[in-house]
Amino acid sequence: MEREHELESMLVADCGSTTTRVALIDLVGNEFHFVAGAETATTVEVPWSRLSMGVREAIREIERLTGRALLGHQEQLIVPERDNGSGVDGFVATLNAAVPLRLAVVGLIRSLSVESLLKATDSSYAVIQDVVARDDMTAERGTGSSMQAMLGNVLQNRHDAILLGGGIDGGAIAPVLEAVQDVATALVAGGEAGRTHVIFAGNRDARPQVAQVLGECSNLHVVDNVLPTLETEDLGGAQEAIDMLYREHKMDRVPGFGELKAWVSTPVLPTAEGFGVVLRYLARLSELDVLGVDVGGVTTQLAGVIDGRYGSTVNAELGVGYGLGSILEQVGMDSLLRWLPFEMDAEEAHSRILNKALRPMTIPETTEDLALEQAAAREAISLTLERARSRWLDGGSSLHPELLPPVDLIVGRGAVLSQAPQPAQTVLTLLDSVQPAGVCTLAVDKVSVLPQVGALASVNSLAAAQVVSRAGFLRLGTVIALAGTGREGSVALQMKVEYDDGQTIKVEVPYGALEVLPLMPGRKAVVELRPTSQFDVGLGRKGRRATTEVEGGVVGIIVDARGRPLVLPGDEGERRAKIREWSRELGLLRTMR
Amino acid sequence: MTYHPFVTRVVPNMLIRRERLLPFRGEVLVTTGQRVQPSDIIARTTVPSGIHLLNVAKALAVDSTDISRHLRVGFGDRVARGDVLAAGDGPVRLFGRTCRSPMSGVVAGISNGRVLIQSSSSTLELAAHYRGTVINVMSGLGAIIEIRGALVQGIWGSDKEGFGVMKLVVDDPAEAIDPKAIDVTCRGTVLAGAFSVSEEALYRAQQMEIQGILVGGLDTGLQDLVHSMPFPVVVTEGMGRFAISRPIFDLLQAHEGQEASIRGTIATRGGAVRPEIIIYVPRTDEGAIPEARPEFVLERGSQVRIVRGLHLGETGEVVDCPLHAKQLPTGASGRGVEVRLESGEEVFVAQANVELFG
Repeated sequence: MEREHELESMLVADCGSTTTRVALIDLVGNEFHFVAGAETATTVEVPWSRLSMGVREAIREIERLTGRALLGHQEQLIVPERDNGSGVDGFVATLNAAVPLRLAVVGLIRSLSVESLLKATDSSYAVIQDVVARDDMTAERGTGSSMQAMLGNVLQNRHDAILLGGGIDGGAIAPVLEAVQDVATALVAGGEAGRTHVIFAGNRDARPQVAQVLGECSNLHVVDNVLPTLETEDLGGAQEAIDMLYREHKMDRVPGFGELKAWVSTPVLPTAEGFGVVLRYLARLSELDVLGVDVGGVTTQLAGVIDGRYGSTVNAELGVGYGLGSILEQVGMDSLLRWLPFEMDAEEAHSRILNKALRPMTIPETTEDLALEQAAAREAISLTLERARSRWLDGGSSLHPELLPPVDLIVGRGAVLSQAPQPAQTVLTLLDSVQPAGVCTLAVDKVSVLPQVGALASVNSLAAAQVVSRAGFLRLGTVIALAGTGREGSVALQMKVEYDDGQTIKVEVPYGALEVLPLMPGRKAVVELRPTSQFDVGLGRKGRRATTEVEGGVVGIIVDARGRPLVLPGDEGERRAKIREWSRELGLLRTMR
Repeated sequence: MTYHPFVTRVVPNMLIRRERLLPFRGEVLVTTGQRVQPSDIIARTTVPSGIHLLNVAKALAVDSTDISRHLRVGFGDRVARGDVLAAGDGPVRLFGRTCRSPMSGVVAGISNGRVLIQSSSSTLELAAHYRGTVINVMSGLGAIIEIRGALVQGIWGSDKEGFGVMKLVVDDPAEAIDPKAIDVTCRGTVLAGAFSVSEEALYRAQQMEIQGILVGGLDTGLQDLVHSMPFPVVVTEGMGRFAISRPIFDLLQAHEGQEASIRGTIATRGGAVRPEIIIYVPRTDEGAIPEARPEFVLERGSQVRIVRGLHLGETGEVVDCPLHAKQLPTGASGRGVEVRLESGEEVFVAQANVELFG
C-alpha cells in the first residue's frame, strides 16, 4: 500500500565527471537528516556509456548500508516511499559529467561589451574558443584576424553557440549590425548542416534587424543587453540562455541521462548551480560572506556571496582528473613541484600526472601521488581565483589589493578537498591557494551533498535547510591569517586564547610560521590578537589589538603568519624545508615522506 | 557493493563495429553492404582555410540589400588577386568604385553585402582504415564498418592510424625495442610487444615506414616526437616504463604475422575513444562475440591490472573483496580488493585502482 505522497524521504545524487555520489535524506522525528551516502565511479564514458549504471550502483550500496529497499522491479526507483519503509518520496540530482558548451564571443569593444559577455559565460560550463572584439580589428579591411579565425571555425562547425553583443540600449545600432552581418555571412556559407545557436545580447534597438539577418541562418536567441548602459551590466538573460543551451545540448545528451530524468522530482541542475544555491542560502541564513571552492575531476568552481553580491566562476577544463593536462599546460611542472615537501623528478611527476589524467577515477595510494594531486588542486584554485578576480571578485581586500576580499566562511568540496586523508591537508591546500587574510572559518562538504541540497531546495526547502545545518559541512577550524611581511622569525602576532572552560593560553607567533592551537568542534574561545606593527588581521588598523570569538573545528585554530601574499622561498631546499615545517605543525609529517 | 571497474578489452575473436566519420559534412563514397579494405576512401570533404570576409557594400558605399546588381562574382567562383568582386555604378576603369579580391581563392559565401573568400582549402579523405563491411551509412558524414578480429585497447595514443602485418619485436614484454631490430624486414609492419620505445627506435621506424608501434609505456619526454611521427604509437599500460601486460602480450604473440589496423585516436570525454589495435584473425566467422557494453563486475577470481600506486602495471587475480573500507598508505580509507600478484604476493588495492581485462 502506498503512503500519501509527501516528500519526506529523498535520494539526492551528484554525477561528477569521475565520481557519482548518492545520499539518502529522511525525516527522523520532526527533522530531516542525512541518513547514508555512497559513491562510485561515474559511468558516462566508455566502456559503460550509461550514467544510470553508476547511480544504481551507489543506490544499491545505500540499500546495503541501511537495509532499505530502494530499487524495485527492473531496478526502477521505488517512489513514493511505501508503508514498509521501502523506497523514497523523491529523487533530485545534479550533474557535471557533461562536456562543456563550446562558445565564441563576439562584441564591439574589448573593455566594454566583450568583457560583459565574457562575464556572462563565467558561471556556466562553457569553453570559450574564440573571442572577437571589433575594436581589435585591422582598420583597412574592417575585419581582423580573430574574426577571420572565428569565421573559419564557424564554417567548420566548431562552436555550439555564438554569444554576440555590443552597443548600449538607445545607442547607434550600425556597429553591432556590422558584427551581426559578418557572423551571418559565415553562417549562411556554412549552410543548414552547421546551423549554430546565436545568443544576441546587445543593443535592444537592433533586435528587429538582428532577427532579420540571423533568423534564417541560425537558431537565434534574443536576450537582454549585457551592457544596457555604460554604467550597468545585466548578465542574467545571457547567463540563462547559455545555461539553457548547456542543459539541452550537453546534459540531455549524456548517455543514460534520460533514465535519470525520468526519476527526478525537479529538473536536474548543473552541479555548479546547485552549489551556488546552497552558498547563497548559507550567506543569507548566517549573514556571512561565504566563498565556496569546488575542485572536481575536470571543473574547478569558485562561487560565493561577498558584500551581498553573488558571483560564480566555473573553470570547465581545470581539475584533478581529466583536467590535469590543462593545469600542467597553464602553469608548468615547476609550479606543481614547488608545493611538494620532497624532491621529485619532473619526468616522474609528469608520468604520474598524465597517468592520473588518463585514468581519472583512480585514487592516490602513495604520499607522492597524493601530494601531487593536492599541488594540482592548489594551482586549479589559484587559476580560477585569478579569473574570478577579473570578473566578480574584484576590488581586492582592504588588507592588500592582491588579496581576496575578507570572507567569513570558506567551504571546500570535491574529493581532493573533502576527502583528503587528513583534514589538515585540506586546510593547507586552501590556505596556500585561496590565501585568505584576516579571521575566517574553513569547512568542507564532508558527505558531498551540498550541490544536491541546492537542487533539493526547490522541492523541499525545509529539508535542504536542515541538512545543510546538520550535515552539510564539517568545520575544519578558524584561520587567523596575517597580512603583511616581516623578518623571518621575528614576532608577528601575540595572542591570548581564553577557552570556554576558563583555561587561558598565551602564544607568540613568529613571521613565517603556521601554528595550530587546539579547539575542538563545537567549542568556542575568545582570542585577543596583538599583531606587530607590520601586520594586520583585518580587525582594525595594522598593529592594533583586537578581540574576537572563534569556533573550533577538527583541526582547531590555525594561525597563518606566513604573510600575504604568500611567497615561497626561491631556493628549492629551503622551500621544501619550509613546507615540511608547516606540514609538521599541522601534524601531517607522519603521512609524508 | 557491486562495482563495475574500468575495463580494457583484450578479446581474441570479436565482431567489432566502428564509426568512421568526417569532422564535418562532406560526401560519403560507400554504400551499405559494401566490403572495404583499410586503404579505401569512404568519404571526403573540403576543409576551408584562409577565410577572408570583405564588406563589399561598405566598400562601394551602397546598401547591402542592393548589392546583387553590383556583384561581378557568384558563389563558388574562382577569383584571382585583384579580380573585381563588385563594382559601383559607372565604367569601372574611369569612375566607378570597385571592390577587388585581396587574394586568390574561391567565393565561399555571399550575403549581407559581404563576400567570403576562401583563399585555400584542402581535401580531407577518410579511409576505411578497417577491413570489413559497411553496415550503415550516415549521409554526408561517414559509415559504420563491421570488422571481425582480435581487439586490444590501449590507454594512450598519438592520434594517427596505420595498417600492416603485426610483428613482435621482442621475445619478452619487459624488453625495450632495439633500434637495430627495426630493419628492412619490418618495412610497412606494425611493431608490437615492447616495454618502451626510444628516440632512436622512433627515427629508425620512420625510415622503415613502419605503420604503427604498440608498447607498454612511453617516456613523457618523447610525446612531442611521437606526435611528429607519421605513424601512430599506442601505449597499453601508461606513461613511463611498463611491460605490456601478460594477457595482451599473449594475444599479440598468438597472432603475430597477421594483418592489423592500429589507431592512436584518443578522446577522454564526451563519447570517449580509446586507442586500439585490431588484428584480422583468419576464419573468425564462427564464434565471434559481438562487441557490447561490458557488464563485468569486480569479484573473486577476476583477472585485474593495477593502474595506480606501488604496484602500478602489475597484474593478478582478485582473491578477496572485503565489504568494509581499509586504510590505504596515504591514511585515507577506501573500499578495495585483495589481489594475488603474479609474484604470489597478496596486496590490498583500492577498487578504483584496478582494471579488468575482458
